[in-house]
Order: sequence, then C-alpha cells, then structure tokens
Amino acid sequence: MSAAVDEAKAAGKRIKLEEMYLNMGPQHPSTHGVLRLGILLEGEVIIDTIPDLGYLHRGTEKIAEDRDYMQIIHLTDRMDYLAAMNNNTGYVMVVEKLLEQEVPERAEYIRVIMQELNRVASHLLFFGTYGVDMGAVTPFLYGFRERELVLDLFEMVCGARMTHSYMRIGGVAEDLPSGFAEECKDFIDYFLPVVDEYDELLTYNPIFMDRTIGIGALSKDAAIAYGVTGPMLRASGVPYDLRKDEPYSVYDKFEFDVPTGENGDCFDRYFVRIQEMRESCKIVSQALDMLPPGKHQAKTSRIIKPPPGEAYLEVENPRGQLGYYLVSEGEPMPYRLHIRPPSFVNLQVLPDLLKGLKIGDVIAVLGSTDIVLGEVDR
Amino acid sequence: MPEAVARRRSSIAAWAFSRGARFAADWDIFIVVAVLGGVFGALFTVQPVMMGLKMLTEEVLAPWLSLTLFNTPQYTALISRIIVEIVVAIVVLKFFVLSAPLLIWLERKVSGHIQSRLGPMHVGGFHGWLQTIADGIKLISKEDIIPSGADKVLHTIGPIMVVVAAITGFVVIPFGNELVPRDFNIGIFYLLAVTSVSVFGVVVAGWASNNKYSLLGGMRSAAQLVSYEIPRGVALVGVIMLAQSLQMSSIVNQQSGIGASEPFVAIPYVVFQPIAFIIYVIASIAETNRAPFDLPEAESELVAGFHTEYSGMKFAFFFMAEYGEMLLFSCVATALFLGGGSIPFVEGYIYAWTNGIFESMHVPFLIGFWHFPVFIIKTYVLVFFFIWVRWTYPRMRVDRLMDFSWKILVPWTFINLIGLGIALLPQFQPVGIWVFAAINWLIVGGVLLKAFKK
Amino acid sequence: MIGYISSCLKGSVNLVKGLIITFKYMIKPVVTIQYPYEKKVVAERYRGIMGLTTKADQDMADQEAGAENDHLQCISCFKCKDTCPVECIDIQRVKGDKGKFELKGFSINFARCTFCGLCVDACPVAGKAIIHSRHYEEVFFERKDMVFDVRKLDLIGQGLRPHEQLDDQQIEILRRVRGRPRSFDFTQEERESLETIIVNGHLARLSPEQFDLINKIASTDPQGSSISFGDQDVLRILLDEESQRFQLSTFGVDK
Repeated sequence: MSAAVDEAKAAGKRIKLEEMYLNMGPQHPSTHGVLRLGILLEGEVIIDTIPDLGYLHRGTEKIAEDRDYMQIIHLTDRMDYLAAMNNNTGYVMVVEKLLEQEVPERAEYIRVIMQELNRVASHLLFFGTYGVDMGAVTPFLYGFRERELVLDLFEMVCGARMTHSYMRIGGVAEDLPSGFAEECKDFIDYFLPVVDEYDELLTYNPIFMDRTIGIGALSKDAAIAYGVTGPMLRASGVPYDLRKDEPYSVYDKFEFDVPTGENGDCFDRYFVRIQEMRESCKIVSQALDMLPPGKHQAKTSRIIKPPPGEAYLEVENPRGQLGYYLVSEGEPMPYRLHIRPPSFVNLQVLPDLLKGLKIGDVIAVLGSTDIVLGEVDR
Repeated sequence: MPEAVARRRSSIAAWAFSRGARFAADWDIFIVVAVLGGVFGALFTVQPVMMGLKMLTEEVLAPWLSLTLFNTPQYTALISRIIVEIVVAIVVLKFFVLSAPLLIWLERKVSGHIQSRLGPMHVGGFHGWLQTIADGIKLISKEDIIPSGADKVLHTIGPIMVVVAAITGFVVIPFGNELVPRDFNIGIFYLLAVTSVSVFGVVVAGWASNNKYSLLGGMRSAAQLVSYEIPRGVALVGVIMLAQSLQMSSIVNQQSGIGASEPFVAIPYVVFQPIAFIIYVIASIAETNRAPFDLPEAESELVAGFHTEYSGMKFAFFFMAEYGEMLLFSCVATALFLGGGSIPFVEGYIYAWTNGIFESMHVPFLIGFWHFPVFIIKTYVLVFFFIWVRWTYPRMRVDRLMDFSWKILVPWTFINLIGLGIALLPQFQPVGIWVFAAINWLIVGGVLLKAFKK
Repeated sequence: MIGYISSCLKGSVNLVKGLIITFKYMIKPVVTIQYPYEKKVVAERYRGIMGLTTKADQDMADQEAGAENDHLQCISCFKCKDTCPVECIDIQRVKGDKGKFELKGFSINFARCTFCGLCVDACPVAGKAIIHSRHYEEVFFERKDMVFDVRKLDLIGQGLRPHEQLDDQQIEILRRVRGRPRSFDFTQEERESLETIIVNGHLARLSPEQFDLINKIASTDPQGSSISFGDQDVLRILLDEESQRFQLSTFGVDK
C-alpha cells in the first residue's frame, strides 16, 4: 500500500494519511506478561513500535545488595520464572568463580540434568503459548500436560515446582532421591514420541506454516549486531551455543547437536526450539547414565565472603545467554549484582522486525521471540 | 484440612457434585455418548407423535372446530391447515432453540476431551448439563448497551437478521418422510438464498457499532461469507445434476428409495461425490465463521470483530446464530449427500416391509418412524466434525482465507462439476458415473491412507 | 499444475494427520485431577507450610504446666530468623534457670514467606526443629490470620521428621506407588486396618498385612499407581462421611 501511496504523491495528488497510534496495553492476552507496545500504524501496515517496559520491575538487583549470598538464590528464581534452575545455576557459578570454589562432579551432573529438564519445560510452555497465539488452543493443553510431568520430577527433587532454589554455592541443595533416575528415564521414553506428535499437529500444519514462514525474518548480521542470543540467534543461521562453544560445567562431556535455522523467520525460531527439546532429552539420558557417585555439595565456609573483586559469567538459558556480573568487596553481601537478561536484549529487535508487517503478524512475531517479562524487568 | 471444603461437603449439592466428579475420569467421554444416545432414542417418538397429531387434527379436531365455530363443515380443510402450520412453525423454532444448548454443551465436552480435560462438570451436578442454561441466564440478565452515536435501530436489527437467516433455513429440511415443514419445489435455491441474508446481518452489525474496527471486521467477515458461498453453491450443483430436481424431499427419496414403486438399492450421493461433500463441509465451516476461519472475530487479534460492541442477549443471538447455522449446514449436508433420514442402502426394502406391517396394523402414523432419529444422528456426526476441526487447527490469516476459497476450493468444485457432467453424458451410461466415483475415491482414499500410515 | 495439485493433496494429508491426533486424545482418559474431590499427594520433599517438630516420644499432650514449649525441639538459637531473606520469622526467648534458652514465642508471617527452605537448612538441631510439612492448603479471610503462632506451627509439625535414609521396604512401596491419586472404595475391615497404618517418624515399620494392603491399593488404580506418601510423614486418612470414601490427605490434622 505504501508503494501506491508514494506513486500517488509523486503524481501530485493530495493524499492525507493518518498515522494511528495503537496501544497494545499491559493487559493483553497475547503479550506474555505485562508488556506495553505502542504501535504506529498507517492503515494496516506498521511503521514503528515502541515497547514500554518496567511493569514487572521489582528491584532484584537493588535487593541483592542487601542480602547474603545464600539469600540471593531465591531472588534469582523469580526473574525468568520459567527457567529457575538455569537462573540459579548462573548465579551460584559466578559466586563460585569469585570464591574459586570447587564443585564435586556429581553435583555438576545433577546441575546439568536439572537445567536441561528445565529447558524442556520452558520450551513446552513456548510451544503451548505460540499455538494459542496462532489460534490453536489444543497444543497449549498438550504442552502443559507434558510440563506437569517435568514439574513432578522437580517436585520430587527439590520440593517446589517452579521457584526451585535448588542450587547452592558449591553444589546442589540435596542429592537426587531414590527412584529419580527411573522416573526421569520413563519420562524421556514417553516424551520423545510425543514431540513427533506435536510436529504432526502443529509444525507441519499448512495453516501454521503459512502464518509463520517468511514472517519477521531476522538476518544473520542484524542478529549479531543487536546482540541477540539463544534460539533467536541460532534460528538466524549463527550456530552459536554457549554449551558447545564455551562449555561450562560438564557440558563438554555430552554429545548433542545445536539446531540451527536458515532464514531467521518465525517458523525457524519455533522449529529450533522444538529441536532443542529433543537435544535436551538426549543430554539428560546421557547424564543419567554417566552420573558418578559422590557428594552433592562441597564444604564451604559458613559465611560466604568472596575476596574483593569482580566476575562476569554467562550461562545458556532457554531464552538466550543470561549473564551475571558480581562485584564483591569482601563483605558477606555483594556490592553490586547486575543481571544481563536475554529477553531484554532480544526484545530490542522487535521494532526492526515489525516494520512493514501487518497488524495480524504482531502476535506471531512477538510470540516467537519468547520473552518473559519477569526477566526483562527484573 | 481446609474448613471451607469440609463445610461444603455437608450440603446436598455438594453430595451431588462429588457424585458427578466420581463418575468422571476415565469414562467421561462415554457419558457424553450416552447422553447423546438418550437424546437420539427420545427422538424416535417424534415422527409418530407428529403424524398422530396431524391425523387427529384432520379427522377429529378440525371438523369439530369448524362445526362449533362456523357451524359449517366447509372450513374444515382451512382450519386443519392453519393448525398444522402453526404447530409446524412452533416445532421448527423449538428445534432450533432447544438444540443450541445441547450443541454448546456438546462442544464444551468434546473440546474438553480433545484437550485431555473434562469440560463442564459441576453446574447441575451431573457433567454440567445446566451450564449452557446458566450461561444463557447470565447473558439475558446483562445490560443492553448501545454505543453512543450508533444507529439504534440498526444495532438491534443486526443480530436479528443473522438469527432469522439461520432459523428460516430449517423450513425446507426433510427431516423424514412427511416431516418436511414446507416442501418447496425450489428447496435448495431457497436455502442458498436465505442463508445469504446473514451477510447483511453481519455488515449491519459492523456498521451499527460506530467503531472503526468493528466496521472493518464486519466488512472482512462479509467478504469471507460471500467468497465461500460460491464453492458451497457449486458443490450443490453436482447433487442437483444427479437428482434432476431442486426439491429437497425428492432428493432424499432418490438417495434412499422411499416411496419408489419397488425397492431398489439406493445409494447416497456421497458415494458418487466425496470431494464435493468435503468441499461443501469446509465451505460451511467458513460460512459459520468458525475456526480455522474465525479471524474476523478472534479475541487475540487486535482488530476486533463485528460483534465486540454487543452485550447481553444480542451477543447471545450471534452466538445462537453461529450454532444454528452449524446445525443447519449439517442438516443440509445430511439431506443432500448422506441420504437424509434413511438407513443407507437398505432403506427401500425396510420401508416397504414395515409399510405393509403398519398398514395392516392400522397404525399408519408409525410408517418410517426411524427417519427423524437417523437424520439427527447423521447431522450430529457432521456437527461433531465441525467441533473436531475447530479445536485442531490454528487460525488462517485473512488474505489466506480468500486465497483458500478462490484459488483452491472454487477450482476443485468446477473440476468436480465438469467431471460429473462428462460422466453423466448419455454416451457413457451406465458406467460413467461409477468411473467418476472411482476417481474421486482414489484421491480421497489416497489422502486418508497416507495420513494413517505411520 | 501438477505442483498445485500435489501441494493441495500434501496439505490435506497433514490436515488429516492433525485430526487423527486430536481424535486419539479424545478417547484417551483425561488427566484432570478434580480438586477438591481428588487431591494430588505431593512428593516427600515438598516445601509446604512450616511446622515445629517435637522431641521424640513427646507430643503436645505431654506438656507440663509452665514449660509450655518444652516438648518442641527448637533451642531458640535464632539461626533460622537470621537466615530468612524476607525476615518473616519472629522468635521470643527467655534465659531459663539452667542457663539454656527457653522458647516463649515463635511466629512465621506467611504473607512474606517465599518457601525457600533456608530456615530449614539453617536449623542446627539434628532432627530439624523447623521443617517443611507437605501441607499447602491454607486459606485466609484476613491478613492477620497469615501470621502463624507457635501453637499452630506445633500442630502442623506433629509427627514430622526430616527425610533420612529409608529402609528397603519403604523404598519398595515408594517406587511402586508414585503418581496421581484417585479416591478409593474400601471395605469395613480395610478401613479399620488402614487407620492403623501410620508411618510415623523413624518408627516406620509395616507389618506384612499392612504391606499387602498398600499393594492392593496400588493395584486397584487403573493407571497402576496411586499413593505417594512420604517416608517420614504422617499418612492420615480422612473419612468422608457422606460418600464413605477415603480421601488421602497431605495433611491430616483436621481437628
């Protein structure tokens, strides 16, 4: 339509266009949290998008300056509440880095199992909510049905389904309960064929493919320039995964692939996440087989006082790379804890992606970025 | 132990709830089937009752009324006709109004089970059978808001037009032998014309809301409705070609062998034209604005649909119209493709056999008593298909909706029509139509086989 | 032309596949647990509402006059209060005559509690004076009800112990019966003998008959697994008077 408008203008006709401002308010069924998008429209085409954040800001970083290192763990649960194990791990790892604390090998394996199970749970929720955004309500229920099983496993291990606080400095809070390995294996045996069913139901559905292929393509260079990480980056064709390229913990001992997309459109982002679920299951089964005996937590001093200094560490969250920057002055409480949330950085791409698209595609693109507002606002 | 729950347990209602909850779990879907079975069973009484009433009116009531009111027997035929017509009108209306709650309950239960959950369970104690009525009461009791600046008259007329378009279609449906409310000899033509009135209703509703987005939504919806009328109509032309008639009851009789001079194996038209049947069903889903074609009225889209400014009973009207149209299109598909109220293939023989028995027993109103239930069963199978499709697929985008209609459905209907025309040429009889059927079933069967293969 | 036809047919195949999947799930049993008629029994390590535990072979009834909190294991060391990140624990203590502290008051404000478990981790008492119960159903009408005082915490903590190593019999039962619960029908004798099964603290030893009964319960559930009860927690049976059915409760003290 813009081409016709330009033509008419060039021919000297008087055309009056109204730029309309549409507010996709903080309370909206499809914004995955309290996100406010101000959209400038020209007819039905989007000219610009202005995201308005901060509705879920709770001051995590400021609170952390007044808390003990152990007490901050439960705060990190609640940022990206869908990937609590990953958040916890990132935080305790940065503290261990400052403390130069050794972690027993069994604890490392347990951490990997928990993180990968959490990745599966998070991507299942993405699968469900993306289906709802597209109008198919049934995959939502199926995704949550599977997610229940993962949350039951977490409940068995640490006692909580969502805000786990399972990691401790030097290891994990408690060892795995008896019977966990069999339950986990049962879950993986049950789950892998179900993912194929999801493919048949949603992924290869011609209606779904129609709505997502070619929409909101993010080029490789743009992705790298914006600092996008995680499945969004991999869908644009950059095969960068922290677990493979800069392995932390014991990830270098496992064999898994890094799914990569080609075009960086919505379908690729969705497909990369579905593939990642399968890879995570692979990692979990390998880890369960290779689980060494040993202690679940190293002996640390009673009061944790890292030496003065600073450390920065990134882990691979289901949403991207989560970074923790810790400055310590030798006190029991940190001087500064800054968190680099992947959803916040991924969200900046939105105005660029939405330019020129129609209004009906806003939800498709926003859903495919898979942001969690708890993380964006902290 | 939460005291609140303990207190609730002690009431009779709570006892009822817990009974209902206990029967759920593994067997709930069969409860839905059982309820439907009960409904269908009750329907066996409809034809005898209607026929009996008609006989009673003609032979007893009308002469009596004519003598007492007018003191002459000349008006007997007129009075009997008036009474019969009034009763028929009430029955048609009641059919529509009573089936809407049942359909809504069915949809909620079936959609629940598709999603591995239960659906309504508590309202009314036994699997939520009062849920729709509770929703209806809620909607009736809401305030009727007309936006300021909106045209008051048009705001009221919009939903009425849509509902009327749905109801009046039921007049020509051949529910059974002699159970056609009005047997026009242009039955199909009447149907297509009357259901198009809903387009007006939608546009009027969009306009009368005084809301830019509703207007856009209404226009979009109207464009969608008009686009999908073409495949619908052309798919039905195939049936007309096979039946050589526009009259609904005649089409049903030709598919079922009712009333023929001697019984023959009558074949429903779906055997000859499965592709036309499928296209008709898909186009009907689009006509009723159901998923996957419901972008104009979806909640999670930004541009609101034509019914956003409606509340209370008017909104309920749009809702009822959607379910009524769904039922109507299923009824039409049953009558035209699946053979109406007849038991497939053997109807002619059974009809002739029972004809003799009932005549000899002097109960002529029992003839063909199975037609109405069988018709409704077939209709509900199609309704179930509508519900099934809705909860499986995501929504189509608006431009793809139009593409789907014009670029996929319309070409296939024309291919079907041309093929049928060639197959019906006198040079190719009698084998031509069977070759056509074989080609159709090859395609359909191939798709199904591929889909079921692991 | 051929591409058009083949894309139409391929699309149809995928659409039909989707329909088959949803139909398959329609006939399968549902996964709903109908709360509150059926409750899911949570795992042994579930971090529910906190309770204060009692010393072994003492319970609330044994308290002597004056030493009102003597039966509790809590030594008022203030470690849990110091470690709580949201400062929801409030403890009052007095120095007793023997030089040790005596617990006068202990309250937890559950409006602030995040159930992180740090207080339980911090408790130095071997049997854990403060412990998570597996009780999660608490409803309040007023905010001041959310502050639990020592009597209520004591009530919650009756019979709770931290999870220790289980013996083989208990491991066997647990492995067999993890999963989602349903309500059950029991005969009169079964009901009576079930009332005696109380897996209480470190005294958890089941007689062979009781073991058989649990197995029988486990096998009556059509999905093959039914109860998940904790190794050390109290398993209480709630008799629903109207339906004469047992509801397995996560927290049994309903007086």
